[in-house]
Amino acid sequence: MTIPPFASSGKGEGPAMKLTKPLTASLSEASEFLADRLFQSIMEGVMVTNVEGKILFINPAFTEITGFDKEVIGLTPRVIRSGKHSEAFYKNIWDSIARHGQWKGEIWNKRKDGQFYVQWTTITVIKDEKGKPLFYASVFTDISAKKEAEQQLQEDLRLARKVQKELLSQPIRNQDIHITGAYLPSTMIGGDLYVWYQLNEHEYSLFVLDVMGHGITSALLAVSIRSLLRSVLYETVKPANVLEKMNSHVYSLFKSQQATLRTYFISGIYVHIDTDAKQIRYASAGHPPGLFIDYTGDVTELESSCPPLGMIEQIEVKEGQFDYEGRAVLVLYTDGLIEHGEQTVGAAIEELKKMVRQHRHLESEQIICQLLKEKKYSRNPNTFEDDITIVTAILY
Amino acid sequence: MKIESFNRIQVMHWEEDITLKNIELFRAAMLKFTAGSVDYFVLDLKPIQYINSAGLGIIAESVMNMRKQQKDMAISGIGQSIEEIFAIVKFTAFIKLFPDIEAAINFFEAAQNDNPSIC
Repeated sequence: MTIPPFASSGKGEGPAMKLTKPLTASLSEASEFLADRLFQSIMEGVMVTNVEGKILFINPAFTEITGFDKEVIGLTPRVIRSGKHSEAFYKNIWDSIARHGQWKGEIWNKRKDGQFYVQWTTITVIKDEKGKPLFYASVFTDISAKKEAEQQLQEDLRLARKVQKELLSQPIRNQDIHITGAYLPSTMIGGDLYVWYQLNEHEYSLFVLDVMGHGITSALLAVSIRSLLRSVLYETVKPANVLEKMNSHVYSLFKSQQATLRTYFISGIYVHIDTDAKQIRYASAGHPPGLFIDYTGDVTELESSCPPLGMIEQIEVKEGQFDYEGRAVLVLYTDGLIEHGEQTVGAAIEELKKMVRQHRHLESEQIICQLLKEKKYSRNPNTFEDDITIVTAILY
Repeated sequence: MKIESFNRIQVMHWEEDITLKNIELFRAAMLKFTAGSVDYFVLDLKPIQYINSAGLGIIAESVMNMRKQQKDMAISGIGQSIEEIFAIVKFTAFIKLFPDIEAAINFFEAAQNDNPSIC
């Protein structure tokens, strides 16, 4: 058996190497040979230093990643330092190796051509049988492309969030009505949506929906539903009809995925307000009850009458209707507002009703701020589990 | 999770709240039953207090899938908090709900007597 020189980067000697007498080679020789073959052929860069920090061995992948070849033998790893890390960073690495025998993490380094790259590195101390350090082995992978892809994804998500926010309706304020809303996605983008339209001088349509889950798919679905809603409203503003049409659409979207239990569905509440007739009509599909507070402080729940949109092929939606007088408040929200903490959903709704009753005299934005404050939500994403949407309408 | 069998009825006791943390386990367990050979399936939720929206979707989809295969599924052991969630999403409109396992098994046993297996 022929064993190549271990200190070489292996160029020109590697893959063509053959066992010349494999059947007679000792187990020890065979293991050495296999270890060397592995060292020469693995995709990860390997650099071994002695305890003084001088580079003893490198493999072909080291050369592939850094551009340096045998010229680094005898030098220290400073040759590939990027200058992007402080001395404290490296001290922390060596402290960790001294304590745990190993360090893992990302390091920015510099290739021979001066280009910076980031590597995922594992540095391990190799000791003799008495525990005395002999070598430090660094095994690393170039993760620059992955990092770049992650950064691109974050950038895309930031843009998507901006687009999603642009799609939310702007407040309406006139002598008859004042509508405003707040949307807090739990991640960069989410699956809640609110939208309202002024249909004519005295009619308004409000819609709050919650796509199951959150993240990219839910956000895309929410956007798709928004455009669908617009076209449905050209055909009808009758709440039951609006929800039935939307149910058919959502159901057909995911019909082919039913066998995998990976379909999506949407809970939603739709409210039609006529400020001339002072009348509210609504329908809700699997959505937490909207709250209507009249001028005396009495609270009416706008209850769901059917399963969420897209869950079953046909839904029978029942509409609710009532008249109002004086100053009244309507609050619509998604379940993120009530599925928080140890409370049951029923107890959380009761608590919300009390809060809304207490703050009903405030302006619509102030009501939202108070609810979020008292429910202890901050406006920073990733600080709560589910997306939260609140819409308030003050009716005069 | 615990599984019990009673003749052609299988019962799965799910013992933890269904959240983001275990939703994939729940999905896999439910897929096993809906795609399997069991005729009647009872999902017992007795100790649990919360199901997230993805969990609700999986349950609804499982019910619909089983019915397409001429099979049936019910839910038992519903506590107050789950009952409140089910009331909002109107599960009562299309899912059989029972207060305890015995009631669900009795229901399916009666159904078996009405539709004896031909095998």
